[in-house]
Amino acid sequence: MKDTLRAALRNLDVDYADIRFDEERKTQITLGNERVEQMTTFSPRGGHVRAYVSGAKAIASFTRIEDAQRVAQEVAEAARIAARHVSDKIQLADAPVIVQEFPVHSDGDPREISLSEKRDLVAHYSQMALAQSDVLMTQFMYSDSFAHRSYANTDGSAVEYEHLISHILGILVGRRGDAVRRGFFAVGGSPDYRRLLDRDETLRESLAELDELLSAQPVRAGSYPIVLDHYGAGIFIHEAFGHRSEADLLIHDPAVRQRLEIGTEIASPILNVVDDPTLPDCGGSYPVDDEGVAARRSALITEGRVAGRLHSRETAGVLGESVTGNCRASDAGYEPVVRMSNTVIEAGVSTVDDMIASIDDGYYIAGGAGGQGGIDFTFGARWARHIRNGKLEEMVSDVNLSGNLFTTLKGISMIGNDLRLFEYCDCGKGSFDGVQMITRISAGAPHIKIDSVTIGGVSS
Amino acid sequence: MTLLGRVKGFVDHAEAYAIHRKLVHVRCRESALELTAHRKTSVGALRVLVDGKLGSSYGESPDEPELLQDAREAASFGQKADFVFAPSQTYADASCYDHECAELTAGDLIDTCMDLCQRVTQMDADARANIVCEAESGRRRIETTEGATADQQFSHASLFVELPFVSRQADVGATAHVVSIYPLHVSDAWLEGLLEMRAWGAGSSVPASGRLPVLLTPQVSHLLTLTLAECLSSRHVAAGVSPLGEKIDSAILSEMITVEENPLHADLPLRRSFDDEGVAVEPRTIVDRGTLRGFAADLAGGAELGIVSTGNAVRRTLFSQRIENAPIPCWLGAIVAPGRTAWRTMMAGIEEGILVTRMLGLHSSNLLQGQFSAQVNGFHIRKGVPVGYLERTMISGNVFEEFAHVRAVSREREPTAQGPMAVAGLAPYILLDAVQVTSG
Repeated sequence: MKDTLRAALRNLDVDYADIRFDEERKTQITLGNERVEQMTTFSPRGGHVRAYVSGAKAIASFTRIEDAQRVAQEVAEAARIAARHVSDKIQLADAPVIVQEFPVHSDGDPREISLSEKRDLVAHYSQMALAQSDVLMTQFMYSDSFAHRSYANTDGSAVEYEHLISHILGILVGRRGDAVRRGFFAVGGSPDYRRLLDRDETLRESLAELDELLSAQPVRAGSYPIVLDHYGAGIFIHEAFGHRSEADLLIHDPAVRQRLEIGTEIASPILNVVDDPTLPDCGGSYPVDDEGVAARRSALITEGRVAGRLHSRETAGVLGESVTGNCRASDAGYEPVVRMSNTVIEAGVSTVDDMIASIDDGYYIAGGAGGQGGIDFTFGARWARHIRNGKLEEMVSDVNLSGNLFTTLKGISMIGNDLRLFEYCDCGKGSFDGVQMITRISAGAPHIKIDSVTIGGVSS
Repeated sequence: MTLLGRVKGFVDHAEAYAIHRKLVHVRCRESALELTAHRKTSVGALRVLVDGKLGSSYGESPDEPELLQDAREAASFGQKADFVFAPSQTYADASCYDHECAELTAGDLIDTCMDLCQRVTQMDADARANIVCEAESGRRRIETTEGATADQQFSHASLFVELPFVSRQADVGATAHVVSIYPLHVSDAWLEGLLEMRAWGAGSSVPASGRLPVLLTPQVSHLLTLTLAECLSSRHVAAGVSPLGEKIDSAILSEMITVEENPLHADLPLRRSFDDEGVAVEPRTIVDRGTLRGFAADLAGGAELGIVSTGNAVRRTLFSQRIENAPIPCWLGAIVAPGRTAWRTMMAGIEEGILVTRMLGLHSSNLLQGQFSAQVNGFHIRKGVPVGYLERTMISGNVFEEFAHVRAVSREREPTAQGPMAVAGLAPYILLDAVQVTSG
């Protein structure tokens, strides 16, 4: 495959071009209330070409490898046309040439598990959830994906790399009277199928949360001190700061860029944040990105100061910085864009009990239900518990938070000593032709306390 | 031979879905060309019933030999389905194809963008435009062993224009969409409106927290239509988790709100004559002056509820509409009826309130119960006039409570936004009487 891709790039008459071809094998099983709604196995394939001429860029996606050469020629021509119109010329940062193969290995390879065994596992969790009174509807989705990606560029890099992932997501819908609430169950996010087994206790915890949520009242709107659990803190750092570390969201925004200059104090001095795709056995780990750059650990915030950011070759070129290996695409249909990998708040020294004890009127926020990043960020929690006079009290529902990046990061007053990494998560980012959902991504954090966050809710 | 022709005889029942699609995309940032992109794909999806058991497969090409084998294997481990695929039927004419649109090149779209950038600069020398211009064309075809043959060519061009606020980061500004079969018509009045909105964002303003009037633009109408889709899904009604399950013929919203499902509507740029299971669509009233009249059913959900499909199968998840997604009930053309008031008159009548142009993080709300809580972009309105763009502002409440108290609905109506959570349709501006607004 590498030779085919290299051949497609020959004689293109461009400044730079690269091409990748993805061959995947996916399995998806969806059970709705124990009924199999979907059992699908499929083998998507496709390629993506980028060409740069005189600072202009053109890209294209294609389906058949036989079309690679023709599409590469067409893209090169499109870049030449675009070159007549560009004013801000793209200058790619240098990246080491890599010629290497990165096969994936798993002792619990999901491809070796039969469809019926996978279906039975999901059915087991579904039955368990439906056995709880008030749980009226469930949807459990099993998914595994093996991807073999081949990549070549005109600098001479030629890489073959593989990804393997399996996970189960469960949505549990309960109703008690007029109250309808959702619970969530998410396990996996690694190449090891065995992580999906024997997770009854995890599901029991989700069901217990849902049971209490069905009697919970919506949260009161207002600004409060909060304690975020591991998952909430991981979502917070992903949405509030992680996306602003992605340099493609920064380079067109001079005002924010200035406020995020390397070395600028933007957060509490107790905060340290890294992005690390080299962590072993984590959901967001990978050996090489989708423009042939080796993955590496990047410090993003060190002792409250901006320490670095995440780059593609394009953004590193604009900012005159080094490549970081964070340019990725969800599949061949999309251009690679700057993405986080495993984004982690490093452990501090506080205990969660100390954090709760320090709050007179606030909330303990648990879990994440999705969010959106920007200078003003927002994210939802699965549930929260009122803190009164230093003690955890009743659970509340419908909790969504928002804040401003700069004021909120400075408002982190305590960081726990109990760092934990997520299993499975995903993230969407706008791209040409819609939102790219990427599943090879993760985050982690200890408990943290933030002195003031806005919570949307019912009238106080 | 077609995909269906290849699988006949090997399974009891089959549904073959193929989409051929060509997309040309041009993106400008700060009035300069940034990217041209092309995508030409042919994708296929196959659902089969073998001994009554459902299996499905998906391929990057409808010609892939693995499609049948994969679908049969999936069916062998599947469970009994309560439905069969769409029967032979007649489809309404919903032509939305223009040959010239289908033949547009990146060069044509670059010219459109550059012309627009120039017009913006002529009207306001300080303004720079971020533009995404696309031309998409293709053909969707669904065939079933029960005799359905649904076939539609489509094409449309779209333009998204953003004029970043002078004092704000690049991701917030005045935004507007144009979508049409072709040509894309951008009037001076449309551009002037966009520039006026940009001028409103010269500074920020934070409203005091409390219950305030909230004026929703058509681009955020999915707060209503997506909630209705969740609550009126035949699957959710059959499972007993919808709060609207027992409310047919009951008042659920203000009498000022009427919602029709009509994918054939002449003003829709992307008309559809059949859903993603090959079932013919037809206009239906969902909410008639506030009173609930109907549900949304696909084949499986309809069977669960004991009704026939209403032609509402859409292969989507919350964030993506792609052929590999399993069909779920949703709208293909949610048409919210217009009112009688000009939207500017509605805004002029707001003593203290907000105009919402975009909602962020709505996906984490519990829409199945109508609960919402989201950060918003838009403008703070004081004495009928925008006094600055919103910062750190959230709105929250319950859709059925807030839309029960509607002050006015605009006579103007626009196609709803394109986007991951968008619901296709047309919507007016809607002024809600009092919604919890929380600012930090």
